[in-house]
Amino acid sequence: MKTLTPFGVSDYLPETANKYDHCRKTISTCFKSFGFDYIRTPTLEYIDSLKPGLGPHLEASAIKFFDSSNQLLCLRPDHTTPIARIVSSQMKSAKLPLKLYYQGPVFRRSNSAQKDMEIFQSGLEIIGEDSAKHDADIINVCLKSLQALGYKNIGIDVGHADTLANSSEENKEHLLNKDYIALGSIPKRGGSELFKTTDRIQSLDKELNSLGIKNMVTYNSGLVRDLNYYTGLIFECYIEGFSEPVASGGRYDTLLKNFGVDAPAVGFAINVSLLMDNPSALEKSNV
Amino acid sequence: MSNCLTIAIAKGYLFKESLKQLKSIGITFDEDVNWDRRLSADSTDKSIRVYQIRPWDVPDYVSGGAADIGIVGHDVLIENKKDVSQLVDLKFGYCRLVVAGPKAKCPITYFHGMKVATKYPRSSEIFFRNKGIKINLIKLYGAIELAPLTSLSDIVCDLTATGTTLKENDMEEIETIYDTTARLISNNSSLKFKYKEITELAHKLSNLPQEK
Repeated sequence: MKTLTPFGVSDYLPETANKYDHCRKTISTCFKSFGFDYIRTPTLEYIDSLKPGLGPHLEASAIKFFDSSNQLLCLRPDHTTPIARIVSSQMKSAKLPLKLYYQGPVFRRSNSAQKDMEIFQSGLEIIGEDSAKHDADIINVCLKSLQALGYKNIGIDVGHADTLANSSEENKEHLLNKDYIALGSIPKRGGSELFKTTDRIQSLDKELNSLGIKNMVTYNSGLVRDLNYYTGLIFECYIEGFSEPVASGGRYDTLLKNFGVDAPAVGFAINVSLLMDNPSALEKSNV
Repeated sequence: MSNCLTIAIAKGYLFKESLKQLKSIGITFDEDVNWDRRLSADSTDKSIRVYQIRPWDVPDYVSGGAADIGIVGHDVLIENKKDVSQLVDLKFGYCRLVVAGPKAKCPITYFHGMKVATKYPRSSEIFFRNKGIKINLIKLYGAIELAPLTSLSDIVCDLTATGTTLKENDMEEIETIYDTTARLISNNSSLKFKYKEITELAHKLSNLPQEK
């Protein structure tokens, strides 16, 4: 009798499942307290319905198959694109700004046995607002929800899409590959002076200061993400003891335009699977 | 959390050379550390803990956060690609990945379905794919030069420093795929939380005079 699961997915037995549940509920309670409404998109999508928003990278990593009428389906590879699809269709007449949050798995092809194919995410989007205050607000919600889970030693790296936009094709590649040898220098981390020509970062710095979270933020002149929809703020959230960022997000003001709605947007996702992979850290949070 | 940096260094020539370089920037180990047996040790000033591990395992130790930083050949980073930050070309441990064939059969014209024996399947595949040539890969773990001489393969892609081993086995170099030297790499999260310590070390190591 075969009882194994495929690579890249995991069973959560009651003990782990309870922790997962606790994580999810703590995060959603926090999101709600900041005025975000829950939205749920289906696990299955027509790839054509997401195509306007998925960059080449996400489209390639989507797990695809055919339905009975030979239409190409995929398991949703992210939450932001399906939400953009809904906002441009069923919620087209909704009053902006929209503050929406989601929870659930995304599915991405993995060519390594160490990488999950099913990744649980909790995240949110503010659609229809374009200000440094909203950029700072989502960084704050991200921090507050991880703090609500009991994590200490949290650090945020902030960058800007201009870094990539202003780089040569070669340097773009080097930045994305984190090959700082080919780039010629290790990108600087420090205060907002690293982005002194980016007014938006200067305003963001003031907003973070008034929220009292400036000391948890480091500016990173080499922070780039290989999702092609970021247009402004990019941030990554690290917790000491985790070998990769536990949350990331940014501003994507053109994504909705690809779906026919001209509205700016900013958001982030917490990688809940990663938090679950480090149960010792969660235990410290008195789960 | 301690500010001690953990560093995974590839065993063998790179390890010996790395210890020399660390020494020249003031990081030393107690005389009684016997590196022939020891897998790890702290530096005398306790600022650094060194792990001596297999070259192929260094990218995994670093990307998995078991070590903050690592020293490993660029060839290993290309072959065992992991999400790590590459900080400094340390310029020692120079080698080349080359295509070579039996002298008796040279000059060799590449052909589709050619059998290629190598320890470097990813690098070889990419190299020949870019040339539009479909190859049949034979992944071996050592004594690569023997493969064409025993008709296991048509050619080899192998790492060489001086080309002596190839020559001694009646092989002729056809072309170089890439040059490689030792690189300092970092875990991305460590680079965030130990930015100052890591960049300072990187800076010191990159400013060392190079032996030619």
